Amino acid sequence: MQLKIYLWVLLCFVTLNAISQSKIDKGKHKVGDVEIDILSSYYEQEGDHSAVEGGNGTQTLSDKVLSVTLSVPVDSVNIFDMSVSADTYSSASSDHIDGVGSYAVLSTPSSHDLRAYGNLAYSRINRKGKTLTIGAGFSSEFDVKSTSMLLGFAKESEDKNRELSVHVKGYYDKWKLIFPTEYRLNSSSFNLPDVRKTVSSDLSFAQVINKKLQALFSYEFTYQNGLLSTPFHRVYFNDGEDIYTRTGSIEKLPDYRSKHAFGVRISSFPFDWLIGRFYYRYYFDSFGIKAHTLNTEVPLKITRFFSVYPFYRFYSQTAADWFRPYGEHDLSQEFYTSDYDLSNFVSNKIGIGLRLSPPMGLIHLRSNSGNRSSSLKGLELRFAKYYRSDGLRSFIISSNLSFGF
Amino acid sequence: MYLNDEEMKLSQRSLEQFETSFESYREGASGAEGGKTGGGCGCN
Repeated sequence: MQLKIYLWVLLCFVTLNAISQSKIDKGKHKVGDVEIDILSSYYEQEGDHSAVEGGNGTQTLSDKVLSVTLSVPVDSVNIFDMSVSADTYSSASSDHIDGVGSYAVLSTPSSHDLRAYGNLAYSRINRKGKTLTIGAGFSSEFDVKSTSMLLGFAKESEDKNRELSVHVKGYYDKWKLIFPTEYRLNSSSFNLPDVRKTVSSDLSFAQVINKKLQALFSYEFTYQNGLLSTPFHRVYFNDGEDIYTRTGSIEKLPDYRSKHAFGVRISSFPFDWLIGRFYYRYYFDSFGIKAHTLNTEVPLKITRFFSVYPFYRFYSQTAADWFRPYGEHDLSQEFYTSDYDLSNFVSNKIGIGLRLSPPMGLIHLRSNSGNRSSSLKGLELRFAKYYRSDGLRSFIISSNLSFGF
Repeated sequence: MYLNDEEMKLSQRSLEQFETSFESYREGASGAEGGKTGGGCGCN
């Protein structure tokens, strides 16, 4: 797995070097810089409603991500964008797939896994403001391999004050079904598919309203079919008093799901040093979940090239139709889950970020011959704390180093 | 200050993708923000 990651990164840099040489050979044709972003993050969460244990167990989890993205303008009309990422996560709840309580088969350190994923997209822009994009992606971890395709189209008005865009994306996921120990001997009786197919399409319209205000309206529809439950999520029914007397099973959900999301973004600067960024989304799906998201960010420009931005996000959702807390499912139910991610809750996220990006970069280098230059264009740091009303809490620290060549 | 300033972009910041990712796993809703809506990670 690590060898595959190294090969992907090597492929990216070889491609970058070849295209950079090509850019130089074109001589007088000025194109944009080749841009490389190195992003990283560390995430940690705590909670007491693990779905692996039927909604009652540790949700301790940590995740580290490293991502490299490249944007390579070959010329004024053709652009390649690619990214390669890897994240390693450890999950205390995953350690309990192999048994709960006195059914525990073994006791091990927290389970951990490595996920590698990447995307490659090609965009072509014509002089009439039309952009066509095609792309593909992959993701790989222990129990799921995923491939994706992307097709996009955007049209900008002549005065560049409005843009309409539409994208369609498809995912094909192949799962390795992992069942709790106590159900592995008769796992075939659950008759679960090992494939999930997802198609999503989004439509967005951006409009400049005046010299200080612009907005974007978006709608996204998603349809999923296949394995939508997680085989190692346990559920317990209300026909007993404790884990030893209650009937148990694994999570069971419908094999299809449709999602609708409507979003609006507004950006405005009442003063040159103060910006307001607002986002609202209304969501509903065939699982019965209805959700509201409200995000507010207030960047303060300390100087023209240094900004600090505090932000706050509020989220609320209703429960999926088949969610019940630990031990409260009825045997007459057709579908059942005790995954608290599908429960009724509100969440709050608060944080702060800073961004430094002077026009000549933080560090600027020029080759001895003077015909090539590179720079560390910018630095961004971000910290956020997240609180969910069922007790789950987390924090995340992330950074971005931007380079130009 | 102009409409095309980096802080005025009508899209998520690059760094927000990590938060959008965990929010799409820890919450039922997703979509209409440039985040993940399906496929890939089996994180729990």
